[in-house]
Amino acid sequence: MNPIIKEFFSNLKERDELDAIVPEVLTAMGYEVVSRPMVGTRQYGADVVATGIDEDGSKKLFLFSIKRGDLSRSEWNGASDQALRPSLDEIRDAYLSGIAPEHRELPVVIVITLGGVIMENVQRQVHGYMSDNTTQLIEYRIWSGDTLTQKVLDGAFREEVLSAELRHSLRKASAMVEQPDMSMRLFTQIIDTVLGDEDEDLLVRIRVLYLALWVLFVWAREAGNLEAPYRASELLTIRCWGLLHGEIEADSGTKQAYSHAFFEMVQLHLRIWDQLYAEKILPHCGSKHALSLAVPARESVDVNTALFTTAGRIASGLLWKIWMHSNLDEGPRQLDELPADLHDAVVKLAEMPHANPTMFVPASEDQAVDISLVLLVLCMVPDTRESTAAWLWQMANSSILAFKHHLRYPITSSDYTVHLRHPADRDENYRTANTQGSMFWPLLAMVAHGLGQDDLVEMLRKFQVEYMTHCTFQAWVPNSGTDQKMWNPDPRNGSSVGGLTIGAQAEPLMEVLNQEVDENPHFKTLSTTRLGHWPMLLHACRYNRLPPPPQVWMPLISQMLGSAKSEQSEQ
Amino acid sequence: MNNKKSDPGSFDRDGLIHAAQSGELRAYLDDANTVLDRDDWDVFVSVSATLWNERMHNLPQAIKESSDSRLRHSGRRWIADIIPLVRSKLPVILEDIALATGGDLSDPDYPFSEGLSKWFEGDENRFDEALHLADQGVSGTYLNAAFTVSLRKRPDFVVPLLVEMVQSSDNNCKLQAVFSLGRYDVQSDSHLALIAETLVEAISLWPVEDVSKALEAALHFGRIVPDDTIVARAIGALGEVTPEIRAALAHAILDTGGRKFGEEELASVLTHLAQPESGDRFELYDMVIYTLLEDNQSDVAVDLLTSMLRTGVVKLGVFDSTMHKVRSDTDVFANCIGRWLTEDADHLSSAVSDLLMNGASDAEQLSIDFRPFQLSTAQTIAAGRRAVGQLMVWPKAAMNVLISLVRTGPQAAHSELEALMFDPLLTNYWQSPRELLEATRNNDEPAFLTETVDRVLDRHDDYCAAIETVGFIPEFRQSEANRFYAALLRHEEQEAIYKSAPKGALADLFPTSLMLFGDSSVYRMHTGDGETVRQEAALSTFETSQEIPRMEIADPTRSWLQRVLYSQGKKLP
Repeated sequence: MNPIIKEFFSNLKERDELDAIVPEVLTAMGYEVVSRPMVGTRQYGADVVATGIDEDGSKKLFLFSIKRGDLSRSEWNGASDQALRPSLDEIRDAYLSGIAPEHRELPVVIVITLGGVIMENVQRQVHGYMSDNTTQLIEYRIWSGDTLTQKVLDGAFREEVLSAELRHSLRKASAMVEQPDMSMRLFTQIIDTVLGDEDEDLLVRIRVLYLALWVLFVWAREAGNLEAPYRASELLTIRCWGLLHGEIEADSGTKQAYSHAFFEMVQLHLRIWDQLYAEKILPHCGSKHALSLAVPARESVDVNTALFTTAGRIASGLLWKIWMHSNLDEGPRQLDELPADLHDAVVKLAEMPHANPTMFVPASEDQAVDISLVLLVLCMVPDTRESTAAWLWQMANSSILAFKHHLRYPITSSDYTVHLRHPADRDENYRTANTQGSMFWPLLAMVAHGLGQDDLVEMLRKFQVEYMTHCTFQAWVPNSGTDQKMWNPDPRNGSSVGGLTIGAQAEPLMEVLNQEVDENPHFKTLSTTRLGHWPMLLHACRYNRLPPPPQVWMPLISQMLGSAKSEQSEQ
Repeated sequence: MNNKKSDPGSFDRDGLIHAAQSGELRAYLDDANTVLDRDDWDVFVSVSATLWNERMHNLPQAIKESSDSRLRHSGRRWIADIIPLVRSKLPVILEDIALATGGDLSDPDYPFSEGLSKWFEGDENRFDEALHLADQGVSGTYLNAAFTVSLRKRPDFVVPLLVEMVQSSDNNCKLQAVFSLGRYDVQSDSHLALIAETLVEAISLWPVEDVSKALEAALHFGRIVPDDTIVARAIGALGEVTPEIRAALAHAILDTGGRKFGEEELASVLTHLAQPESGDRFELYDMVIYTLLEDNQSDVAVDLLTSMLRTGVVKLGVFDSTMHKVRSDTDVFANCIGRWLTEDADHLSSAVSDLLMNGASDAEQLSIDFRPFQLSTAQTIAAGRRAVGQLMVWPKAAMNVLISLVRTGPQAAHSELEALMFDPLLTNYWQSPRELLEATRNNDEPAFLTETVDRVLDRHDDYCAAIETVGFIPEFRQSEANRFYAALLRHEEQEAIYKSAPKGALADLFPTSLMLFGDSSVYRMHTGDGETVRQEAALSTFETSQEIPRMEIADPTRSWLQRVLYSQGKKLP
């Protein structure tokens, strides 16, 4: 296990990554973390501050100055504002004079914390500095990657929490990140076993998985394939919510700690999302065919699946970020202002289908889940509504055409082997048998209505009447079991609102959906609704392949209709 | 029999009787046909006729019994040569022929009718036997022989008789009569006028199902007599045109190369041919168009071909000889492609891809001058789209058409054509059409064309660079299990293709041997003198590669839509 963890520490690329991990390592060791790194806050050289019982049995104040990777001469005392020696000077000159009253009596240990090692050509200077500045009350120490590794193994990953077998699984999962299915299978075993050990403290269990996910993430990043950690983080976030939402909601003294644990997990999920989507994929969303041709595939369905999945994941991450930025507790709403980076990301997402026209025809009904999430994000930002409407038109036109000509029209099956052969027969019987239910078509009609695309609604209405009378148009809504099943992923949950009819100007459709929104008692009682964490519900919907319910959509649709009306009156 | 083969003397009366009695007459005649020279054959025929006339041995029955299937050439030659020497009455001769051939009494094949002609030549009274037989209702092609001979020998008697037959209600008789009249090399003006009048009248009065025979006779008569008005009158007399009538017209063109027709008659014939129906003999039209092309009448030929294709009744693939001829003539090839792409007719634009089906390499240097077509901007853009839609599998050909359209079409269409060059041609094929554009840029071309090409290439450079920057994204890869399923499925499909490939393939025409090892095979070849010599043949493999359109995987539905709409000259939504 040692080499895996050691390599993990040495591969942490940013200082903030080590910043995020060190407090968890300390907590797992029994230390109390007093201060964590915060962006924009003056740290006076100490990135992390903790109190704890040292090896000599006495309680001390530990001040950590953190540096990623190896420490070279320039990083020790170079021109960079990240150089270590100035930080240590700042601790001595500024931080120690402002110590909190309750810690003033404690001996101080200043810990030089590194992901790697101190390089040979700077060791003398570092040791000289340490001996020059050591006093009776101030001691200096070095925690290198080796030290951190040992601390993790003795602390967070100690035998009682992470058995030898699970350590082995983690090692294998990390080594096999280039085979995401296998890696994910192993990591799921770890999640199930650790979370299932109810004898252990919940926060301890979550901390172990958090650090394990970090290990998997960093290894996957080095291997250039983030699929496994993305999926692992998606699942882990859902499982954590299931275990934590009750604690977060409870009026207890530990509420903050649980809330923080969940927040850290989401942050790690979004950190992985950033690396995979914000950095690797979003910049290319607008480049014609670039993503389509980036799929290593010989089957057209592989391209289609990869792009819809990607779009759904991008949307899911953006919904989390929008939520964090805007404090929209009640659900997705129209956003008139967004930070530039978020706005640019939404615009890029809007460009994706037009640059990759395979996204004009989903392969399966299942992809309506991803489409719904993408549409949700795009509809929240007025700037992207025009291109959203264009995408809706293209999807409707192309999918209807594919249906009429027995091409690759969307079917109910999600079975890959069925898709490989689809359409296995170009006749009416096969087509009818494979299009018995749909959430895709009513979704298009609902959003088209919200965007004021009456002609499109009419086209879809005609299509339903002329070709889809055999098909049950439907939407998903939560029921009384949803809040249990959603977080231990089980797609067989909630209810289907069936028999939807688009009708003239989508009135019958909207009437039924609005009625369900008004009368469904379960959505309001969902933990995500009670705690205002709607991105968590959408995140879990994506994972469970359930479409966002109309309760999420309807308020936004109302806003969109209002905007459309006011635009018309202005004209 | 082998010992007799080298001995012409064995083909005598005794040999013949022996062969007839032993059931080996067919083989015996085969040998005779091979071994005997003309003089010996005549002697053998004379001996055979004597035996036939004696009727002691039933030779027709003997040859029938010794033939396992259809009568062979040797037997047919033998009987045809015997007939003029036979002394029997006409009904007996016809029965003998029918017995020997297993055929129809009234419809002996060509070599027999030739023999019957000679038989009729032998005695003028035999014509009366024919008439008598016809009166009894046994009419048939034997009458042709009788009429042909009698027309030559007793025209004043036979011509009015045949004219009367043409106007009679006996269908067989009237058909035989027009056939003979149409082939009569008339000697008097009065007969010429009478026959011409009769045939033209038959065309206009006969039931439509019989008109083709009268027409065929009239057209033939018009060609062999010194009266240029007959063909025109015959064509002018046509009412409803059936596939048989078109076949008769096609035959007439084939016989004369169309040159015997006046301009108006030819135009009229082509108008009739240009409206084919599904039951037509298209192989005949294929030969007609081929003949016209051979005869340097390419405009007329392409007109006819285009008209036929436009109807949608027939596809270009049926015109095998014509396609070959078109492909071998650069100007005609370019003219066909240009014309078929510029006309708003789906069947014509699909003919372009049929033309290239087996000759795409012909189009790699294709250059079409579209100026004679005087295309509007919209027509030019539509032609470009059709080229792209129809020729998607042959991107170089499609690109050549687009380049030609830019070079010789209206300037207002350039930007649309430029867009088509980029998408879908260059987006699907990064190599071959690009090479063509690069070559065009380096040629001595007008500035507006090289500027267009530069822009397209720059755009393609940017496009490729953006794609190459992204490279493959491993996270997009399908799961291991699904990749396995896909590979398994494709393997099964390949197996099925492999197994079904030999059926009907060329390989079935030849004996094949499985070589377990080595890179050459040794075999013994027979020489003429019975010896064998050692031969060694090196084994070789043939490989071919083709650029696969990238969007077939990246975006199959839209690619399909693009091809369909562009093939119709329409734009994408």
